[in-house]
Amino acid sequence: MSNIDSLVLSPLGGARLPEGGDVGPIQSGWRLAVREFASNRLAVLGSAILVFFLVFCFAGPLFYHGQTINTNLLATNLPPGAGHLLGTTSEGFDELALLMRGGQASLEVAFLAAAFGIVLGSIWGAVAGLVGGIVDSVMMRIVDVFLSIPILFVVLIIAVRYGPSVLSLGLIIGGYYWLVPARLVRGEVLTLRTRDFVSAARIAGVRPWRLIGRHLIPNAVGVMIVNVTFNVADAILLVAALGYLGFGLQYPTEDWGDMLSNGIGYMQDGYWWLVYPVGACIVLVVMACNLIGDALRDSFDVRLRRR
Amino acid sequence: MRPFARTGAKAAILAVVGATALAACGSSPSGGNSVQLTPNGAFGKVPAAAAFGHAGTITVAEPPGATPTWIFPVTPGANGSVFTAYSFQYLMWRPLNFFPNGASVSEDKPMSIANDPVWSNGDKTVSITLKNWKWSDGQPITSADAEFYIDMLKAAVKVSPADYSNYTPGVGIPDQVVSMSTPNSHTLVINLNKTVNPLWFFENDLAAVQPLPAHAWAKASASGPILDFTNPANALKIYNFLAAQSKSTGTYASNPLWQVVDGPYKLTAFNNTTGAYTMAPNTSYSGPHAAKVSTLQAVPFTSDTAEFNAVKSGSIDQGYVPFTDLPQVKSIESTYNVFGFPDFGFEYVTYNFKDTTGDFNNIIKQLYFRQAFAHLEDEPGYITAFFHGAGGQGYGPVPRIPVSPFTPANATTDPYPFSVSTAASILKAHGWTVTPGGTDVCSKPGTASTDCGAGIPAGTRLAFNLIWNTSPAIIGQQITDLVDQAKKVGINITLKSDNFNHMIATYYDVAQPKNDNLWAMEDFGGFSNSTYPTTNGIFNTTGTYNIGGYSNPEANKLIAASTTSSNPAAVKAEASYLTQQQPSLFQPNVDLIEVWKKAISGPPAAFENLTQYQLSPEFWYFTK
Repeated sequence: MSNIDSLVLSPLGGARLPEGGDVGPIQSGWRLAVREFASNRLAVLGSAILVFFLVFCFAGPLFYHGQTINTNLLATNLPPGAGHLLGTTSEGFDELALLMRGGQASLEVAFLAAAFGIVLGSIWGAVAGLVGGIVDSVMMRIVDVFLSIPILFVVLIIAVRYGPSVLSLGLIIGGYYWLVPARLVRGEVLTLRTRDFVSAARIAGVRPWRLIGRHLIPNAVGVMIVNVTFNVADAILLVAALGYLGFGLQYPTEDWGDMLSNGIGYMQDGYWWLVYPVGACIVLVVMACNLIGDALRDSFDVRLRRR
Repeated sequence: MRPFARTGAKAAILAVVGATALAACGSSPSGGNSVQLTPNGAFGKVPAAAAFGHAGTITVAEPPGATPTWIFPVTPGANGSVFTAYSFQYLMWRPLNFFPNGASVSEDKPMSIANDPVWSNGDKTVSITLKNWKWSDGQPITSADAEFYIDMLKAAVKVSPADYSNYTPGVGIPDQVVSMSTPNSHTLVINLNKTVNPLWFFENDLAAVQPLPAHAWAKASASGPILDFTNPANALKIYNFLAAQSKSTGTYASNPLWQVVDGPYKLTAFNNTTGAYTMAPNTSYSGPHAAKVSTLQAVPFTSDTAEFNAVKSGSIDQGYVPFTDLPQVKSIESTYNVFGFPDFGFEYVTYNFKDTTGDFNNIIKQLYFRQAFAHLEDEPGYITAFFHGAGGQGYGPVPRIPVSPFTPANATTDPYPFSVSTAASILKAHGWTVTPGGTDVCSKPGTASTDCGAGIPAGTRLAFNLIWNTSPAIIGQQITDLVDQAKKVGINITLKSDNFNHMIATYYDVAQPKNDNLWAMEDFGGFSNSTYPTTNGIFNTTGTYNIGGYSNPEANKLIAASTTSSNPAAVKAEASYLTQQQPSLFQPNVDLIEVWKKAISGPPAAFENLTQYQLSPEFWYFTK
């Protein structure tokens, strides 16, 4: 029933309803965001996919024990069958088990990079936004300079020079992925620092670091969370690109990009199990992260919430 | 797979023949190792010659990056490749002695311009007698023409050592040539500065001499007079003129200089952008050939995928099968004959004898360690699983396949067969505490036969790095298995991928000694080699290509004997010693898989030698 109908049908001009719409019980911003997120079907789908892959990669090996470390030269490039549900690789590794192990590394690097990037970027952006002036200008120009350097170029050089590992790749990629969060958080802080609660905290003598930690960053957390999801997706693609170029993680560690790179050479031979499953994994996880990110952005931004 | 090559008659810098990523295109999802496995390293077979039908135009595939870039047979290092030399220049200007004969390590004497050399003066003087061959303009090929080539080499290296791709300062032609004489038009006598090993000098240097038409080329300008090329000043002018002409790739087919040939073909068209070329038969060719020689058309390809698609569609007469497409061979066997064979040379994992990280230099100096490590390599398994059967074992610098008169006995059967338990036993017997899956530790330092060895303190761990070339994929596959087997005996290897150019520029003791502690082992590919397979330059202490700084006085002595002693078995002794010493981890050799249409036939050797990068279309013909 529309509000207009209510007004017309209400006897004696009974209780007036606000023009903005129905008013429910007062809820916290977080609850509203969660409710908004849950009502977004694509977000739920994305979450389900991501959860599936987390379970698949980290719990799957507990139930499926394919060989991924010891080569088996007598069982190379076998098609999917009873012994190997998704066939074997050119080294005789079980493809399904390798998908799980490769996924572990890819997801670990991606989450590590996103976490490292968001922590560093948030602090950087908050400091720049809060202090302002020349410090802000210098810090943001540094961000601009780093943003102008192609990340693949940098990561390739470092990977070739020092050799990649889950930790080093996570830190290297995270060391680049702080730039966008820094800009976004700075923008948030620029608006927050003029708010009354920030002024009150300053007048009360709260020190800058506490101001950042207790008042500014918590109020910018929505932006940060959204950015984390996109960074996870980007990091997965970057790790895959590195692996595809042959400079990803090294045996005995494996990532999805390595697997794709190894399998693509056999595509014309009809060894589809070396390419399609791992390609699908990368696409699905990246898509899931993006769906979640889009939904989170809608949830945290009141202007984008559905009415 | 043969990024590096040695100096010598058959050695020129080779492009990496790699397995490249292929575009998606479905085919039968067979999986497994479904292709045929054949013994002795050969893949498929060459059918006997069928009856001559007719001549026509034969199209051949030029692999990506293999287009010719230099026509003058004195080729600078920057232009040196087997594709430029063997598949292009040799069709127009033949060497004195033609190697190999099909896929076997021997001379194809009917294809040679000269008879075998005669030695005298304690192997310091060599006399060469030319057959009665003629240039395409009807002039006879004389001993002066052979002398002209050597004088051009002298002039080239005077301009720059880089102007002759097979130049080694002080070694062989031209530096060891003190004087030359031509007592008659068919005889060339060369005096050398010191005694050489006749076989080495013949197969590595002399055989590669390509007589050049001095009566047409010995001039300093297009319209200038013929000069006395034996005068060094004139030789320099002539060389500069000819080299300048060769730089003008757009005039290759029109320049009258290049139309005077002694090979079976004359160039009629050359696209200097794509590298495509067409050659017409030299009707005055003096060598053996088919009843009627076909026109040759070389078709360049920008990727292996494109080339193999052309093969699958039947649009070229002769091509190759990229390595990753081997499982698809059956799909073309109804249209094409298929034959694969390794070329002469070896693949290896290079050890860095200068890497002091974790005392690796002292560990790798131990023969027992190198032998134990060799036991971890499953060569037959690699050939079956990774090469699809298309390869041959290589236990030393002279591989088991192709069969060579220089193959030592210990290179025909694996001296260190795959056995993880044997490797573990060897390590235990030399003072190492072996921890399968972990990292071995030296628990018995010292120099006794049961100790770890000199310079290896107690607690030293068997943990080091290995840098590998990501292309072709079979390098990574072999390395992955090697690392897995090594882990089983507690040798902990950390892998790092790289690309060929960066590896050669960075991990190279001779050129980059400052990087010695950055790498313990590397696998960039291997070496192409001449039919006389000395490792001079590779495993002698002062070798230009001694990448890992291997130094062994006995090896130096044997390598020197291969190039200077008169003992024809010297190189065999060298190969035997190096096979036993394992200065590097020798790997199996992969086949080059060549295909040609079933409608084309000829003597089997004329197709077998495709696997050695030779091109002999003068023998090919259509059967119907």
